[in-house]
Amino acid sequence: MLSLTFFRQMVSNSLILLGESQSKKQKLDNLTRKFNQLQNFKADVLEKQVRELEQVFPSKKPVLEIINTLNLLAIENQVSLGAVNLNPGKLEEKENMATSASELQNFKLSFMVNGEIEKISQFVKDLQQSAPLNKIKELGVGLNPQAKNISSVSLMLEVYFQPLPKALPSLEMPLSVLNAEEEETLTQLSAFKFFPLKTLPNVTTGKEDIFKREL
Amino acid sequence: MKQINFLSVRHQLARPRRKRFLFKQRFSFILAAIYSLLFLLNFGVYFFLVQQGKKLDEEIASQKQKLETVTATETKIFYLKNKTRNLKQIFLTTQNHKSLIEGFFNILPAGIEVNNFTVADPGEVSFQGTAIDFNSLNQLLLNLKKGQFGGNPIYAVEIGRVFWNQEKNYSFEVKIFLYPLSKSVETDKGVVESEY
Repeated sequence: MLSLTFFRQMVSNSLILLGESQSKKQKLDNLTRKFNQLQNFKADVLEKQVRELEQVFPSKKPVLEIINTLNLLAIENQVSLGAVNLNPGKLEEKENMATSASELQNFKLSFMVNGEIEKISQFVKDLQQSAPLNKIKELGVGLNPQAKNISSVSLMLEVYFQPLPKALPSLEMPLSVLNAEEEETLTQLSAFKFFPLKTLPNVTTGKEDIFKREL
Repeated sequence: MKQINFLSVRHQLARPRRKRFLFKQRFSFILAAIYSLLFLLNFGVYFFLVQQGKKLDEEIASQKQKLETVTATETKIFYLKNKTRNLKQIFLTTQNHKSLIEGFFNILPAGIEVNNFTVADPGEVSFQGTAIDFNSLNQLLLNLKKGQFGGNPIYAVEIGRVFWNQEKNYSFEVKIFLYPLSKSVETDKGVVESEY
């Protein structure tokens, strides 16, 4: 009787082990497949896609970037900017904020553009195809009583960004690759104009530490 | 000489009993042998599975280590995937929006002041304006009569609240209704396939 109980226990243990073994095999297959998939990706292509996406659809609130773009586009199209009204809110969201980090976010910016209507029209056209990603929500055209072809256009933009995801998927998770539609979306990014921010030279500020010595 | 066997009857009685005993003994022996064989087999399988489990664990650990070396690639793919979903949605809404903004500048003649140009989704554009003279207003109406707005066919235009104010300007409100998204609408000219 004792022997039978032992035998039965052993059979059930074997069955449990068999099940575990199957799931481990599956897991190993998934990991191997994932590794092979990841190895097949070209690092330079991915790097380029990430860079372009970050320029057009940034992870941080692109306040300086949009102002830089507006300025340079205004110079390029020979129009003048004015009455820039920006309400970016908090520049950095804290970890424990209620908003989910990986959700689409935006902020609004309103301004006036003055110049010839054809040039303003070109400015608006270029703006819609420039980084960071934006959408014109409201538009108004004002006339200059002195010159008929000079106008002032008021615009309200919605500028989009999306913070980085807070957590990465675990190693066991299967790789979710981009589908053809998403690849197609990414190819559209190259059509966007991007104006890099000019960084100021590193200048020492405040009092100089005269005792600081290079070791 | 006549043999007298006092046990013959007993022997006769004992023989089937012995046969049964032998059968039972043999059966028990076979059963014990099968049981032992199964026991050994089970033990073997169990031992094999334990060893295989350990081997698989080692392989999984080694594969995970390998995957750690390509985490940067995985992170980039995850980043792209995560953002592209929303990007696609924005592109879908902005693509037509862009052509509508461009269309607005195309229909706008000189001498028109516009306030609150807005695109209400789907396919409804509205604005309020002031024309400095009747010719400017007339030109705007003629432009709208062409039936195209930013590459989209116009379904209807509603001009409201036109009045001549004290500054001798014409104030008005315009609402343009475009054909809805991917919808074929029967018109007197035939079927118009809208890109909107």
